[in-house]
Amino acid sequence: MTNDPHFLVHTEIDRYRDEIVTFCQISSAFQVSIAVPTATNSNVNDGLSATTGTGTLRSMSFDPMKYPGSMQTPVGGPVPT
Amino acid sequence: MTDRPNVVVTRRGSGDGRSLLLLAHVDVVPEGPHELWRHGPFNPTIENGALVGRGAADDKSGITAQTMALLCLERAGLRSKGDVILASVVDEESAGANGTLATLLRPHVADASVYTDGMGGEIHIAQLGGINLEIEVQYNPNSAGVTIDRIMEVMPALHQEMQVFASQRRAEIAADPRYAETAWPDYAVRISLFQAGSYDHSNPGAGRLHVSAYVLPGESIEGMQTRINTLVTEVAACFGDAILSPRVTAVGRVMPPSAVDPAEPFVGSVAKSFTRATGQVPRLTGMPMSDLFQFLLYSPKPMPTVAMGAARWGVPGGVHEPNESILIDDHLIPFTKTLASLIIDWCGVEPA
Repeated sequence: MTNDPHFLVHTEIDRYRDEIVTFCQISSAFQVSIAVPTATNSNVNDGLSATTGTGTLRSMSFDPMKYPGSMQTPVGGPVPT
Repeated sequence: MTDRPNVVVTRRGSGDGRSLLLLAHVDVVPEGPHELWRHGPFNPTIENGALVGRGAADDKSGITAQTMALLCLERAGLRSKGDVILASVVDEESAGANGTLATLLRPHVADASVYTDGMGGEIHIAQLGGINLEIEVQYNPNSAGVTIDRIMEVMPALHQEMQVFASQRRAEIAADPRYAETAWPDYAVRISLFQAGSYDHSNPGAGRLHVSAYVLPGESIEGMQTRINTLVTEVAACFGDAILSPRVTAVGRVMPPSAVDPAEPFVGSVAKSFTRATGQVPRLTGMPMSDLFQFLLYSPKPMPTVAMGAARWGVPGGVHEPNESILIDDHLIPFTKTLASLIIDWCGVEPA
């Protein structure tokens, strides 16, 4: 017996190995498709404004506004978080 | 889109510990022709020690490992001192603003984070950026004595020079120690579209080339665009006024590169946890284009982040391939143990 937390939790993970596999198996049965960009998608800043109300990026070392095709907001607008 | 939410769960710590964000994505790439799948893409099946199905590795294994790591920690009678935040997001495969980025800006942030989408046996401390450029060339109708078929000379010349550039870029990326032992230099520059002409018995008046190029951390998207612009301009100059000035335009997915300092204490904690779980020393490598940059560039709170996972790439059953699979005992279980040990080391634990 040991009180080493790593040993305890690793042992528990081994014990629940089959449950872990089942979790992954059930998850994999569900398809969540990728967003399909279109020419009319808004860019990242629109997405930020819609999801946060601020649209402020911490870093502008890369300016997504220069590349309207990047990081599209899917058709139908942002999803709830 | 209303049926594709991001889901975030915070397990409050008992206090006096560092917080940790674990984030995985649930969206998957298209399954491709179903006849290529042994059991169907969404009929996940255990076969020879692997779970086979679209998304089994990328990134349902991440969702599984982060959830079960925390659950098993508590089943072992332990409670984290720091908050543990589990996030399941959409839109990773399209670098969308509505998945990782929206989650971070909510804000769901922590003292450190792991993006649980990576390759087994590796800790990713860098991520390649990338740009896709469309190059259009058109013959010059006002050029005396020039026939329209010159386009069929320009296009191969562009292709040839792009291959030379690709070779140079492969060497440059391979020279970065984070990418030296990875497959990613091979994909440094790719021609994804090559097109001229539109009708039989007609000479093409214009041609189009799409080039996808990786960008290393420390380089810039703009710099790569300038290099390719220069190359195209030099090729065009060889044809005098036979063609108009080529147009080079960024199209589609554009992503900045990012990296975390390997000396960052969190990177050391992750490496230590990996060794505890596997008995092996992890490889600190770079990864290709991914959501890692969202953490490292756009998190409202600066947050050391690595990417780590249980997937494989470039092998039969690798991610994005037919019969995508996750190796259960070689990768999924050790990865779950790694995350559990990281919670213990980074957040601290005490008896529940």
